[in-house]
Amino acid sequence: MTFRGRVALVTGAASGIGLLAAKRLAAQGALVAAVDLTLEGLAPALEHSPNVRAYAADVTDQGAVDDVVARITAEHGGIDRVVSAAGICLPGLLQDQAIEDISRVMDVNYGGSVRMVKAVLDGMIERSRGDIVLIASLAGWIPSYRMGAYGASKFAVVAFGEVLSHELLGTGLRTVVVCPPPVDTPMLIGINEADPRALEGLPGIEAREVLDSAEAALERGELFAFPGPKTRQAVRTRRLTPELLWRRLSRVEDGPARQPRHGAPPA
Amino acid sequence: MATYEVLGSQVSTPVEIRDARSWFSTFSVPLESARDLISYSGLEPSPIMGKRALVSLGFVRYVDGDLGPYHEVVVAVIVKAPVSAPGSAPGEKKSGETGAFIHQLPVNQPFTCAAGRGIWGFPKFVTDIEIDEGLHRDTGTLKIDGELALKISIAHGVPTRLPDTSLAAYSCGDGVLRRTEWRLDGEGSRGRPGGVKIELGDNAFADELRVLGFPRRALMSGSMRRVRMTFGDAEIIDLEPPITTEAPESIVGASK
Repeated sequence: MTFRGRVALVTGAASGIGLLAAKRLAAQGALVAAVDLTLEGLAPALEHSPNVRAYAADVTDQGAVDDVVARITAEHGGIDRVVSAAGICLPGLLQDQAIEDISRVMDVNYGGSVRMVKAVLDGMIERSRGDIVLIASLAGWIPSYRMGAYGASKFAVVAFGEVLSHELLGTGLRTVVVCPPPVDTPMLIGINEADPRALEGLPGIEAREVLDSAEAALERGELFAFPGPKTRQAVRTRRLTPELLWRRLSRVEDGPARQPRHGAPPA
Repeated sequence: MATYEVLGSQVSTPVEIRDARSWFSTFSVPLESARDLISYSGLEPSPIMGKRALVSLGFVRYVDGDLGPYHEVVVAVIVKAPVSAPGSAPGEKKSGETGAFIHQLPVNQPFTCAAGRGIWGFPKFVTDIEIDEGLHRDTGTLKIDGELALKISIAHGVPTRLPDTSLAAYSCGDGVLRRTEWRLDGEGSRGRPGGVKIELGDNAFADELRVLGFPRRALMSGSMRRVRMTFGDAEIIDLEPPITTEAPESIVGASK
């Protein structure tokens, strides 16, 4: 682990990547401010871990984000690491999705990261140290059917993180934008339930791999972390031959999969 | 199967660790000094090649388990099963059974400390433990009262297969010898001969290891990326003759 500070703030700490990030930071003795929508949801992060503190805040609410950062700073001191893991995914075809849903995904995933980073940034710059860990996605590099709203929000996080890291050169802060393929978390289960065809049952990698690769990237001073086998290769394919990628995606989307595969189930 | 009250919450055995990462190293040390080190337990190091004993140094990052998230450093001596080990007739030794006597077990979180001492008599105390995963080596650093006690740096080995293991972990808290069934399996094992750098500080914890000849070369070392463990209930073991040696004034008391 490369975290040398004392206070870490983790959003989306109730489950998935955020929960694991909170536990790992707690294991090494950091004071972890675990943030999620409700205090009840944060129970798994608090279990037997006296140095994890729960804070309820909605990352789409600027006032709530500012308040929670002010409280954490007042109670525990300056924030040395922020892990922005709060995120939602509403899969589906864009033509079927309500504008409100598409906007909401953007507001949580992108807006939430921006609000949280902005809330801690001045303090980090003042103290000339801090780690900014943005959980983006491979969907932030590779757009695909039924993942339009989510992909757009993650493309935004990737761009925000890339520009931010360049603007922060020489400040002593470290930034990593983490771009995993599907990860075995409650979110993945939710996606597969909501729209089984969105990810076509792609198996998820483990959340631990995501965090390992984030740490390794921070250590090496790399802006992007691409956890999982062939993730980096997939990004390269998308950049070099986007048409090829879309041809493959459309074969899956429009091919036999669109027809009932086995006819009607027996009565 | 039992339930224990630990710092206001309930912990039931068998205690499960669902996700941990561990690093270990094994050393050959003089049998006599190992025997002296653990004489307070009444146990006997398992001799190898006549005059040597095996000592294991390791560190663990517990991420998801019944005892919460924490880091741990282990100093263990491989011991012979006591003659009155459960499942064997008095005076009869179960052939080949060995166990790990846990001599030191510092951790960095109070909950696991209270649970470990209360449920199994493990010599846990709370202090600073850092685990640093590098590009070529991973390092566990134990500090006591802010000063370096032990630094174990383990090179990344080559992928290996380790069998699932069940072994007896012995402890001797407050002069009571206990035996705990410890099951362990995992994925992502790596190992190699040697591969360890040991650095000692200037305190009682380090001095104990110096007596064993540390810093010295390891026989082997390795790591496991994902470890699952279960710990059963501790059984109290009465040795014949009864233990007369007092446990040493413990540096275990050096908790902050």
